Amino acid sequence: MGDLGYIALVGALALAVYAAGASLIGAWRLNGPLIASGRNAALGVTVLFTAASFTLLAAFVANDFSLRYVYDNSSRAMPMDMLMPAFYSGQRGSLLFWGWTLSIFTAIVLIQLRKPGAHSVFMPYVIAVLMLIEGFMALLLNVVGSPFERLPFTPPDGVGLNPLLYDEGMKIHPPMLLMGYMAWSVPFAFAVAALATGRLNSEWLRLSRRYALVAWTILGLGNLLGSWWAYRVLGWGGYWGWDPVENVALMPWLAGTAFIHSLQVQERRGMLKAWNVALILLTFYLSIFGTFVVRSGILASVHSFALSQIGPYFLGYLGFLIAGSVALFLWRLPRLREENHLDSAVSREGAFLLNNVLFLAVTFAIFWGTVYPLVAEALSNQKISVGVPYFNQVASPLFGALLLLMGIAPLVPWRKTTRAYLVRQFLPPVGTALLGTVAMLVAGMREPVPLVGFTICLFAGATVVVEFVRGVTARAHATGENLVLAFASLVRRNNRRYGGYTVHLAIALIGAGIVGSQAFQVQAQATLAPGQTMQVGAYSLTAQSLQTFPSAGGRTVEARLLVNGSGEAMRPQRVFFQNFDRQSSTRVAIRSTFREDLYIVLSAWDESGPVPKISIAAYVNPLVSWIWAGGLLFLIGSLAVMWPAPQPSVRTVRAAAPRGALVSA
Amino acid sequence: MGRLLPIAGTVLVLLALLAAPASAQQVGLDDAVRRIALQLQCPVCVGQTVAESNSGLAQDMRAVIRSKLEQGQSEREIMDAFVAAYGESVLSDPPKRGIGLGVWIAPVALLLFGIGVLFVLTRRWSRPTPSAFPPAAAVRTEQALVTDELQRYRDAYER
Repeated sequence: MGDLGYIALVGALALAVYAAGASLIGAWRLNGPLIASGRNAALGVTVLFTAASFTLLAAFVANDFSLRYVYDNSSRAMPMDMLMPAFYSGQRGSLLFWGWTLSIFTAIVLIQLRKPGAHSVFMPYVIAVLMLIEGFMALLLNVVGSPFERLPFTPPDGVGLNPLLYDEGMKIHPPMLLMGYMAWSVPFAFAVAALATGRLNSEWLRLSRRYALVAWTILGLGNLLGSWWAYRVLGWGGYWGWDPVENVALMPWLAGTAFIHSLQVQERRGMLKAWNVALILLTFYLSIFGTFVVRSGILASVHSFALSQIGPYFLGYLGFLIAGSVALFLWRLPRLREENHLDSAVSREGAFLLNNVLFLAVTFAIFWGTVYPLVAEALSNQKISVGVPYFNQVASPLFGALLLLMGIAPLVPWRKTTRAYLVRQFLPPVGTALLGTVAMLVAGMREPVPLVGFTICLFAGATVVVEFVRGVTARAHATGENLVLAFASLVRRNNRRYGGYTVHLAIALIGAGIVGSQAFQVQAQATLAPGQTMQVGAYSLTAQSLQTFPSAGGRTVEARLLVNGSGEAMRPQRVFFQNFDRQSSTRVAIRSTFREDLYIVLSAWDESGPVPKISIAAYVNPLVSWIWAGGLLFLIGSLAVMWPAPQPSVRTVRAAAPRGALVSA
Repeated sequence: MGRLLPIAGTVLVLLALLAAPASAQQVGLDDAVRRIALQLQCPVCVGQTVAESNSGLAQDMRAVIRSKLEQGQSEREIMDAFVAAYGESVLSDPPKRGIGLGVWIAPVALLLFGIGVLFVLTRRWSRPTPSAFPPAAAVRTEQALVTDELQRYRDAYER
């Protein structure tokens, strides 16, 4: 069965090369049939990647352990719902997944843009770029390591899936991250197409924006789901550890966030054309870098890089992409010379510029901290670690400044403004934030960092609420609709604006959750015999029992603890899987409320004595549920932004303009 | 990922925990151990501190910190002992000198550079561009007026 997969991957490589070549030559020679042929070949690549992926899935279902990849990542005991995690758990499968999903994305783009139009001139180049990317993945899968590699004999059973991966979060966060990386290829392809054709007006940006938003949403969710998984499974009491793998997933999202903001300046004012192209190139490089880091382990040490087979390929490929696209960019730079004109630094444009500087600064700080151990080792042969304190100290002030800006920018109009107007705009949110500060002081909070942090989040959130209230009341006033209807039609008609505000509100929520859980986490450890009690924060935990029972694919060790002496029991577990006796999977017991999470980890146990002893690490994590609530709101807001705009129609404008309308001009 | 490494060496932790009296003093000791452990990078993990890691080595190191604290050693002395044993790479906070300084300086430098560029660009773009071609300028002014008017209308409509 593996042979079919082999053939499909060789075919995908050949067809991708053909599609790229035919598209480029067709575009140069203005040869319509050749361009059409390239397009069809690109769709053929989708078919072949899909065939290869289904072959691998079928091999997993059939327990075909003659394939090394299936042998390494699955076993007969593996439940069927772990099929997809097994598929992308190893390097080869995840690269296949990456290429497969990109080929599907490519097909979607080609189908959406099948009718001739303003985009037609870009399409051959878009196809060529996407085929170069998919072709590279096919090359890796053919040359470096095929998921269809055969073992010399067929073992009776497989090694099994890594126990860490047995979790609900595993079914969704790795594919989201891989797709988040992959999806930035599409806006990148449009940017390169715009550079190649020299048509650098707003058309490419309009097309790019749509796909960039999809990539941005997927990658953002991937990051959130990843931290949700880490929080529930890794059992160290936190959700974000500034691990290299986390950092490289955050970086393209941050650079992409800069892009989706600055493109609005080009849409509105025609400024920043070159800058927007540069930003999307950067975001794509960071996505490839992320895929590469996740799949090569380079950042553990320079030496593991030498051992990693795909390391040199990825580095060479990244170099080729950067060199090629930067050369194109420099060649077209004269056409990107822009009429930049700023009426006032205190304007929405000015705020977006500052936003970009801050986003790039924080992206760079994270990049630098992530790669610096390698830099230091290469420069001075000295090993140093760059850990959590660095990232917290450098990134927190920058994120704080961004949150503050997020509260300010929506209140500042485009072009220029008057002082009186600004005062009127800022009074409600600033007043709310100050009231909140006073309330926190009265409640007895004295630590400066959370005080400032909460105040900023409150201000940013209040700005969104105030904007919503203004919009809804103005619309209700102008149209006579009731408030609910006014809200609905306001969002429907200005989905980009109010969807964006919803995302802002989500970020403010997440920010408050992070501030609260970082500043006020309480932690305690104890070793308890049944009947003994430990204290963590306001909770007392009484050990009850320790038991071991068989569970799916292995056995489970479970401790039982009573919270506050009441009937409520918490059951932290460790799960052992077949073939992984030395490695167990933590099942943290979490009792989550709006206010705080009680988080209990079974860290060790000892059954040698007459009574069992359990070692417990217990945490009280305030406001963590706010982060996940923010994640949900982030999804809602992003979907609202992406929702297709209503068809333009003739609208009747009533004589009475909404209040405050003319002041902003 | 390597966050869950084999549970080895837990016995030491168990002993240390059992030896410590469960009192207010222990809560203070717990916090002190954690404060020090947070500043030490787990040598066998990727991106985890000794406080967070469940690896055997990290558990041993926490037990060592605890016993040294109980012997009355200061935080400084304990940190120095770990640096002597494992080298500076054991510090999760890179030292702000020598090669470690580079990681701190570059982001600050980039931020200052970015703000500087922003400042210069804002000044340059704010200046009204003197035009050598009056007719073109006249056209543009007219266009600008239209744009302004359109903008005003949009602002009014959307607000």
